[in-house]
Amino acid sequence: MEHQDGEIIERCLAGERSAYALLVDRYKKPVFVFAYRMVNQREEAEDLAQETFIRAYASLARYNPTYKFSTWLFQIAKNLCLDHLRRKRPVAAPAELEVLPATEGSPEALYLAKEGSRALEQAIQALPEQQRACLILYHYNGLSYQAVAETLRVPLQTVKNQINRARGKLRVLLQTEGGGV
Amino acid sequence: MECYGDETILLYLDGELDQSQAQAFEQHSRNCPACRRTLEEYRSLYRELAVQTAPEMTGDFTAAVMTALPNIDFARQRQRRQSGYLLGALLVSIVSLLPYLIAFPGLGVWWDSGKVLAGAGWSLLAVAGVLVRTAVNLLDILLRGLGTMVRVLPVDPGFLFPAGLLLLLGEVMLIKYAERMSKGELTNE
Repeated sequence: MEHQDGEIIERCLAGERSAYALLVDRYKKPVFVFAYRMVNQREEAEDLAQETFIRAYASLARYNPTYKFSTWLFQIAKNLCLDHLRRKRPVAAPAELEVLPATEGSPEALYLAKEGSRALEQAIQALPEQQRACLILYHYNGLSYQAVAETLRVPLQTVKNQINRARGKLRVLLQTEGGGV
Repeated sequence: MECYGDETILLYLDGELDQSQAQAFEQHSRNCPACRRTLEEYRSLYRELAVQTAPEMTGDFTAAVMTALPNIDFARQRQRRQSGYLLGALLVSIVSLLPYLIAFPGLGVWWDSGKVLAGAGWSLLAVAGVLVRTAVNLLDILLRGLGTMVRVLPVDPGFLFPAGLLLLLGEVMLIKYAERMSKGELTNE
């Protein structure tokens, strides 16, 4: 029987530290995906994801059960990622961006897919941080517009505007790059 | 016919246009190369975003997190926070008693004693009201009763100071009572 987040949190607050592993297992992938899409480096994304869970545990007594635990977790992850990006040196050269290889198709198709993926990765990294965060939460993490608004603590219409602007920029950038899109 | 903007096209792709609007757009895009091209570009972008994968996480992530978790005694943390609230309430209560001291015989009376008494009493009530978390009607009645009692007390300068001390003691007891009532609940801040 799957335990509800609130039940697990109560157990943690009662002193059952090991129960927190259930929450980590449940949300580690979405948090990592978000962090990875924000910083585009696997090791940094893992560090940020780890720090997210550690910070969440340290603040567990202040968690407000009115909101979903995942929403609160993404808020912490977003703040950590933004702090990290602001501290980091600006824009790595394109060759340093990680691009995951495609695994199916002809060599030409694989090459085109890889180049298209690279172009999209670069285009996403070029987005302003707030737009990038909105886009990632919606398209990669599968959150609804409302959930994105709650996570980022901005009005719903702002989220829609940010995501649409991000999509518009990606479309233009990818057309300019002549990428796979 | 005027072309649709990017916003409408994106609403269409997100399924947020109603049926008549969606049909109107589809009809238009069938005959408009510009809108059809923009639609296809956005469709392609959506497909690209959908197939993008993230790398696998390395090692045992969960074990690494659990090892790095700080040692926190949540029960003691909650107790310390509640003690902090109590201390804050006491400090505010003491400050709210300052008018009493100013009005004490020998230091000079600046205001009408009755107003000083009522003002300080309501300050204490306001602090107690902030701290009480549970909707306990009896507690509310007691607080209001205290306020009423404060207002009708004889305005005798010799009575002001001990009356203020009694009010402070009463508030401390009420806060302790409220703490016991809320014990064991998740904190909401």
